Amino acid sequence: MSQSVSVVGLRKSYGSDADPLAVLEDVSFDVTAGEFVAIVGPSGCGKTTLLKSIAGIVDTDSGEIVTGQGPVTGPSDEIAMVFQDFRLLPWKTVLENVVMGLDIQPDRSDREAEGVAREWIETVGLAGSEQSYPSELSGGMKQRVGLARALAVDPDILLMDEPFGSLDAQTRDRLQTELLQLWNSEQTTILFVTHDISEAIYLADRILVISSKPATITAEFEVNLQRPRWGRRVEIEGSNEFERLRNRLRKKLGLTVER
Amino acid sequence: MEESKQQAVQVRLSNIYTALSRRTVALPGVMFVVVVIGWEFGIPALGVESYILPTPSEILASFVEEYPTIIEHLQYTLKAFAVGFVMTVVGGYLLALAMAEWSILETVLYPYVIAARSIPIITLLPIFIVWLGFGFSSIVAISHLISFFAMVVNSLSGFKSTDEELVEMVQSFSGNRRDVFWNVYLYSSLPYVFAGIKICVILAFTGVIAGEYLVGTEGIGHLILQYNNSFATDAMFATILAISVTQLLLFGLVVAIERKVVSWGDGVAQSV
Ligand SMILES: Nc1ncnc2c1ncn2[C@@H]1O[C@H](COP(=O)(O)OP(=O)(O)OP(=O)(O)O)[C@@H](O)[C@H]1O
Ligand SMILES: [Mg+2]
Repeated sequence: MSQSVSVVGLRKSYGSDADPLAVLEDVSFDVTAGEFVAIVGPSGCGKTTLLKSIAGIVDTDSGEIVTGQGPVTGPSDEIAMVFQDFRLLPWKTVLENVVMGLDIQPDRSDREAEGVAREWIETVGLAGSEQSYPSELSGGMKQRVGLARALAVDPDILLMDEPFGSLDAQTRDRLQTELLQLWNSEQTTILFVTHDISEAIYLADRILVISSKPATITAEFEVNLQRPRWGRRVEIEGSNEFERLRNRLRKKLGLTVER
Repeated sequence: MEESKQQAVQVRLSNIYTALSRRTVALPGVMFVVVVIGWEFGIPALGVESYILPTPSEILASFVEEYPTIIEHLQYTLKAFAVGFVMTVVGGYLLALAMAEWSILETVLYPYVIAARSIPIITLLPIFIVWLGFGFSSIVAISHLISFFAMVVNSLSGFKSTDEELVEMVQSFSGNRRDVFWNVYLYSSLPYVFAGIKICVILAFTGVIAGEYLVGTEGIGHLILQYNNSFATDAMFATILAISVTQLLLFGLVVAIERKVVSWGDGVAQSV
């Protein structure tokens, strides 16, 4: 299942009324149900704040966020978030960490929750590590747990905040491909924040460019690369469309364009 | 079957041997032996009378002789300790939790908790005697109050030190305050809570003995005074030995429980 998201005129500032720090300034965009949208922008521009607003865990100043179920006024069961810094509970095992989100939701027995959690742990490739504690896992494994925890609650909208940003290149490559496969089978709507341009192109249907201080959407690019994309990554990354998009994105982000 | 048992015993013995031969164990051990021997032979050689400072062997002999009496009084002491200590740990934890949950409570109460912690509670004993009489209740009150505020302060620092990002994560899964407590606060505060419990074991036990010195008709503090009055210095030392060992055991028990409870991967709590 999936749901659409529309963000209309979103504003958010931190700090006191006397000394506000405007972070989001009139951010508006639409995501259709089942779409994979990447958001790229410079560091510290407000990408995390934007995702948290959609997740309903920070209060916004004005504007509206509407999903297929209606306006977002707080956290909901339909939306799950994968965090930039994993945010696993260090005192819980992998299994308990994944069960946690399920346990919070009503109308589910413990046994049922554990069964679902075990399936997802296997799906993200962590079978055998159920009883490990986060301190015993590598970065890549931790983010797999974060992914399993979010997917286990069967969200209609998945918010991903630079989930692979802190991982090494090989692990990142593998997880990107696995994410595409999961998205293909689960059909959720995904909002994926990154500042890696190639990652955005490889994964997304559409890329939103967000500016800094305060953040607004300054450009939007359709990614016309045929799906499924996994299994032909080299071909995709060598294609003219990829090259063209990459250069346009780099320009938009104020980076030098390679020839 | 028998053989494997014997082997197991042998392995165990050799483990104990390796543990004992480690420097950190061996050196304090040597120190202990030196002090005891010096005390045993040096003190009488200096002409110190036994009623001033009895030798270790005299103390031990006295313990063997007096131990039914000592144990009887110790039980009474432990009963008062148990009541005061449990009231402290449960009450202190719950008050700290309430203060963490409702910041208005913290704002109103925290200065008084800090102030109360600095008051020498023992000076309140005469007031407790007026209110609660000469006996068990006054002793429990002292034991409880002398330790209570340390428990509140430590538990509260535990709740306060909680990583807000984890709280946010639980909230993102629609977790309410209860979910946040059971998944985050309960665990994140544990190292601090145990640091508090360890302080409170010592404080509450000392509180009971201090109370017994003053108002007790029974209990180990009272017993020390009795021996003192009859110049039975060796029995007095034997009682002090019993108190020290008991307190060490209580402390060790808390540490053992902490090791069991606060262990997640290599994230074992580092606390005093
Ligand atoms: N809780 C907060 N209180 C005050 N200021 C905050 C808070 N969270 C974020 N900010 C500020 O808001 C701005 C945007 O932060 P945000 O984390 O949303 O950026 P980001 O785009 O996710 O950055 P990065 O790419 O480094 O993750 C930053 O200047 C940051 O300092
Ligand atoms: Mg961020």
